[in-house]
Amino acid sequence: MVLKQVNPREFKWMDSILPGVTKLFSGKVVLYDDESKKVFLASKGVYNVLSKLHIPVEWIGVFFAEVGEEIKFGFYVAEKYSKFGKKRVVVTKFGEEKFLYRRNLTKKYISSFSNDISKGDIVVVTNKFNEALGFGKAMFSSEEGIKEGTLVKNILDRGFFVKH
Amino acid sequence: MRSNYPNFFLERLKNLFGSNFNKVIAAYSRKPTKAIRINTTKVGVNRCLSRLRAKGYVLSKVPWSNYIFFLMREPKPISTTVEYLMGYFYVLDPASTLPPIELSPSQNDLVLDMAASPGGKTTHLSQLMNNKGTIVAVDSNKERLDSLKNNIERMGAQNVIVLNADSRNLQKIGVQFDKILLDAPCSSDGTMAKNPELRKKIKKEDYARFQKLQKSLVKSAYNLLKKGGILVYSTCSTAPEENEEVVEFAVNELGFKLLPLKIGKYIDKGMVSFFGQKHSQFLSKCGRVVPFKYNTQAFFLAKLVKV
Ligand SMILES: C[S@@+](CC[C@H](N)C(=O)[O-])C[C@H]1O[C@@H](n2cnc3c(N)ncnc32)[C@H](O)[C@@H]1O
Repeated sequence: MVLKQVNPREFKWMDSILPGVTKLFSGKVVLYDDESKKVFLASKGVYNVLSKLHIPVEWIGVFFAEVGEEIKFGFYVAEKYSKFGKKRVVVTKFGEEKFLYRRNLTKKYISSFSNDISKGDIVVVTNKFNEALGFGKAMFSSEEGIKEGTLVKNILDRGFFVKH
Repeated sequence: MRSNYPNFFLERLKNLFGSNFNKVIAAYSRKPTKAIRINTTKVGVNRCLSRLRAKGYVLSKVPWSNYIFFLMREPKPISTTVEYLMGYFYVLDPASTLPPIELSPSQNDLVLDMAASPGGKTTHLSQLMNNKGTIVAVDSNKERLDSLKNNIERMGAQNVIVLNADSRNLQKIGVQFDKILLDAPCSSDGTMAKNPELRKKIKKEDYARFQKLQKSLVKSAYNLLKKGGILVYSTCSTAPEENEEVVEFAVNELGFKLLPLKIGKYIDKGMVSFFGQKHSQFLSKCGRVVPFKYNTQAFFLAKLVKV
């Protein structure tokens, strides 16, 4: 991996996907690896060490997102973004279990949602403690409300860590 | 149950543990007690405990820390709970929580973890540093890096740089470190309770082979440390060849000075004579965990300063 420092403004477009997400860059150095298309964040201290290392790096502390054809935000973003209270779907106890098993969400698994969701949006899925379980794609809008069928498609969930 | 072990191994253990030999063998035949290290960068200890207790897990504090708990009852694999998935704790052998506590890195330190995967200790160091400072975590085995990365992400460790390299060859790395953890590759003969298959695999020659690797890693650590920098060396082996002899080499050949352990009162002292030979008296400052003391793996650690 060859990590280069980039101007955070280059990723301003991320705000059109998750409003305000680039606020999470604040106080951090934004790093990008052209080959894997991965974006990482580093503190100034970590970046200072990184810039002195003469050995290729495999990974660094905060994985932010992968910006291939579609953007894939990492768990760090889910966790921090859930605190914003935006684009959020809260699941029930059973919803939590299902979602952590890669499942999509239907009405019975959803207990509430924020009022800013449009169809096709990326949403943060949390449990009742506002713990971020991952990301989903909304198949409903807050305005219309939730009805039948799949309402949130699972994109990423922390069940990923079961096998590790 | 003794018949499961090669004779040379039983002889070694008798020699090393004397009247405690039977206790060691008995401990190797039991299921070892696991521990959880609560990730205080993400969750309060009481909150994590009450959530797990509500699910039927029974936890009791280890004597040397207030955020590490023996797992006494596990109604369902604890690594399937949402609390685990959130990175609220790491599941590990209780003894392997000792080296990071002993190294005790501060928030401004530049720390090297020379044998890092799967990251039990890297993420512990990160927690002790409150995600500040910098840790360079190295492992030579590419296949083991995924588990390291995943644990870093699950636990939310933010100050880690991962390198895939042989820690014997880091001369050109470009920085020097305040603190180094060398949780060395070893025969792992202290983990027979958890890995019974090792009983068949262990060979006499293993000890000399690992010692050679360990000595070159310790030498590399010496070169990478700043003056006054601290090295904590640990293994999950019972063998003095991989433990006291390596420390003796570090002191006598490299010029390290051995320091007393602050967690010393919870564990046994290093051996100063073994296999009929007297060794340096200073080795008593090393620490050993016998497997029957806390029903853990056998463990060894030493703290050294580059003077
Ligand atoms: C005892 S394990 C480390 C466990 C780890 N510290 C933890 O707490 O999760 C030893 C590790 O050393 C690695 N290793 C072996 N030889 C190495 C070398 N020459 N340089 C770097 N790493 C090495 C192995 O791949 C293995 O992951």
